[in-house]
Amino acid sequence: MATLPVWLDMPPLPNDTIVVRIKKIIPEKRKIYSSLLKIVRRESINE
Amino acid sequence: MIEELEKQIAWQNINTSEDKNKILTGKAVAIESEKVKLTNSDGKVKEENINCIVVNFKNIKVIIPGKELGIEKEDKKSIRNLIGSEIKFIILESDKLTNTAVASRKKAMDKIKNIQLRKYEKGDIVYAKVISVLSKYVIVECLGFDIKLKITDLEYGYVANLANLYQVGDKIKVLIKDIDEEKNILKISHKETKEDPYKNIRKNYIEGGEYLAKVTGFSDNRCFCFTKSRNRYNGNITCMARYATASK
Repeated sequence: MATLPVWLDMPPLPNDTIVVRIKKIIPEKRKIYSSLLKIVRRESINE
Repeated sequence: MIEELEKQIAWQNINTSEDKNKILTGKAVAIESEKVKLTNSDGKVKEENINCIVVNFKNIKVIIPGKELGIEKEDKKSIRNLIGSEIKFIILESDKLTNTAVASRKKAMDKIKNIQLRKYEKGDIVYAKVISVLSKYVIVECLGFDIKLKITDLEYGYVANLANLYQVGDKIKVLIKDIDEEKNILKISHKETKEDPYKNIRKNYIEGGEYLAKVTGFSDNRCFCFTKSRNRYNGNITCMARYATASK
C-alpha cells in the first residue's frame, strides 16, 4: 500500500492533466523520472 | 430506376470478379454460422457448422467462409476482430436469385501479394490499413499480408490502450524492415517512420523543469504520463511521476 501526500485526496487516474517536475533524465535507458506537483484537470471524474 | 442501375453495376462487378478474379471491397458487417455438407476422403458425408463473415457489397450479401479469410485462427473470436473493417475479396460463386455470393479473401490477398511484393524493397515506406484494434496490438493489412503490430512496433512511449490511438480503417505509414517474396516474409514498423523523441530529449526537457502532462496509466505509487513541451514540441515522451511514498 502507498501513502498519499496530505494534499492529494485521490491518486491521478488515466486522462487526468497534471503538472510534473522532471527530476532525472536518462536518455540511454529512455527514462525520465519526475514527481507530481499538481492535478490541473480531473477527466476521470468528469467521464 | 437509379437503384436498379446500381444493382446492375454491382452484379456486373460480381460477375467480373468471378470470371476474371477482380478484387472487390466491402464492409464486414456480421458473423454467421452456415451448415455445410463435407465429403471426407473415404467418401463419407458429414455436416459441419462453419463460421462465416458476411460482407455487404452494395446491398449484396457476400459470405466469406472462415477457411477463405486467410487468418491464423478460424474461431469466432478471431473473425470478430474483422467486423467493421473494409475487406478485400474475390468472388467464388454467386446467385443472383437469392442476392448472395460466396467469396475468398485469401485469394484476393494472394493476388495482391503477387503484384505488390516485387515492387518494394527493404527501407521503403508504404501505407498499411488498420483492420483490427485491440488494447495491446493492432492488425494491419499491408501488401496482401495481415500483420500484428505490437505497442513496441507502433509507439516510443507507454501506451495503456491502443484503442485510444488507433481506429479500424486508419491508414498508417510503415517502414519495410524485411521483405522476401520467395519466403513470403514481410516485417514492418510504424514507430520507425516517426522521429525518436528520446533522441533530442535534453534539448526539449531539462532537469528541474515543470511540464504539463497527461496521465496514461498508474501503478501503486507512480503514474505514467506523457508530456508535451509547449515551445519545443518534439513528440510525446512517457515519464514516470511519483505521487506517493511506498510504505514498507
